[in-house]
Amino acid sequence: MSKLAESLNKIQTLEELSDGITVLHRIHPMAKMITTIFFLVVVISFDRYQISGLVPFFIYPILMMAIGEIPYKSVLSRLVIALPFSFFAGLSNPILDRQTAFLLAGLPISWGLLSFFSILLKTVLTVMAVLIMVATTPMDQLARQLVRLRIPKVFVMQLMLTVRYLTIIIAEASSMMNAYHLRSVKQKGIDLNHVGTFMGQLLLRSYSRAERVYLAMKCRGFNGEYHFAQAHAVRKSDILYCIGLCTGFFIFRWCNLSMIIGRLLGQ
Amino acid sequence: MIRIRNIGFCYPDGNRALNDISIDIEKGSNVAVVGANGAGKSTLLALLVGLHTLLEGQIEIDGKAVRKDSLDEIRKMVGFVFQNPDDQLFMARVYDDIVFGPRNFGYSAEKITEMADTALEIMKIGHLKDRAPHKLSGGEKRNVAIAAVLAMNPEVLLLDEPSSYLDPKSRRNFILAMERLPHTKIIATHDLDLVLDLCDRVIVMSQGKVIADGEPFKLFFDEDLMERSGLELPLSLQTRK
Repeated sequence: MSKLAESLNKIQTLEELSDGITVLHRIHPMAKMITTIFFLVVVISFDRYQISGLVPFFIYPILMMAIGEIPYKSVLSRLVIALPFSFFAGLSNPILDRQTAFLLAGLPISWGLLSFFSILLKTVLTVMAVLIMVATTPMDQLARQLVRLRIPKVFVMQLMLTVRYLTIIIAEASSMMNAYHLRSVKQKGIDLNHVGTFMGQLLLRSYSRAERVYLAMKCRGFNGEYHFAQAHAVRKSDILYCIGLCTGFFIFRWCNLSMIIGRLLGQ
Repeated sequence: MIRIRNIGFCYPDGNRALNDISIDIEKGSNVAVVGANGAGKSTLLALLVGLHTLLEGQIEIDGKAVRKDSLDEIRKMVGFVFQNPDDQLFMARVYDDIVFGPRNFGYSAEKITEMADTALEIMKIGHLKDRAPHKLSGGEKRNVAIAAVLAMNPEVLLLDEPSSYLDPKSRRNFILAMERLPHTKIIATHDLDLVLDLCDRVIVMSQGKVIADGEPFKLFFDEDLMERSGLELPLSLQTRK
């Protein structure tokens, strides 16, 4: 299988996970969305030097992955894609902010290093929370909730169609790559002289494919407005899920559990 | 039921695809449109469902003219099954693809479920409804594409090269499924054996014109016609010759 085909498979596995039947999958999409947004806001609201306060928040993704029967590998492998961005964004912190914050086993830990790890932790937590939401909620249900949250329909439809067309463009690129490699045996990548033609062809082929998909949609009554699936009615359990978790995040935010546990163990 | 009068069509690049075509098709009939590549078969089907704007002539389906302002009604009546099912199936789940049409036409949730269940039952693909379309075999994809169109409850089915992508067994199952359907069917195809199995009338096209119209058994034995239209006698008839 080519690397592109593997990527295509990866994109689709997360979407396929959302068809599960666990308790977490059955929670109303709006409850999951509000909880996730609240989680993101709470995590981001921590001071840039805070690490101990962030650690207890790992309970949420770990617990959710277990309840939602989401394979850890599928979330962690996607996390690896996001981490380099924050790694390089925070890399200058330990260099510029060298003042020692405290000593750990005799080693000086600078404020810059703390803020660097804080950025990494926040990235891991926020990306995991979003991936868990996506892995337990079908895409069109998420889109519908975005519309209900007053996000303009045109943006939501763009998001939906981008997700759909992404698979189409990758599939086109994958078959072009296969055809190219079969006729250029000793070559590893695409020859620099052919990159322009390859990309141009990919654009034209994707455009023509997208046009056929669009025509097929029009034949089935599509007139520019995407009709999303109705989610089930909000139940008590959905409200309890949302309030319970948000309260938990709130408590974690204002009571530093790591410190409390550390003090208790110290006593 | 379908009345086509003197239609012509020219693509924006200047390629003239259809010339003065007039055809009448009765309700419930199974009509094949055959011809070599570029004869205008797919263009004719696309015009019937308003995918291209008609430049010359007139098409009426059940008394309704195919025009820009009547396209919603026409597309409710006429279901188009594309040549490549991958062009048609783009949702994450088979069921979502099946209900895509009924949702667009604004039916109630109960009605949509009923329409989808009926379509799944007709094509006998209930077991596939939670599968991802891209992971299905060619035959399964074809059946899902047809079910997605049947879910809209159309009166007319347009099928563009329906036997492409099918292995012999899937092809046989497709023919059996089509025989069960009471709809008016117009099938654009190169598969003349399929025509013999399914259709009671065949329209032969060449270079954008209708050059013959009649019963398949009569027309397929006409060597001169077959030669002119770039076709060959179906395999099943070659031994009888």
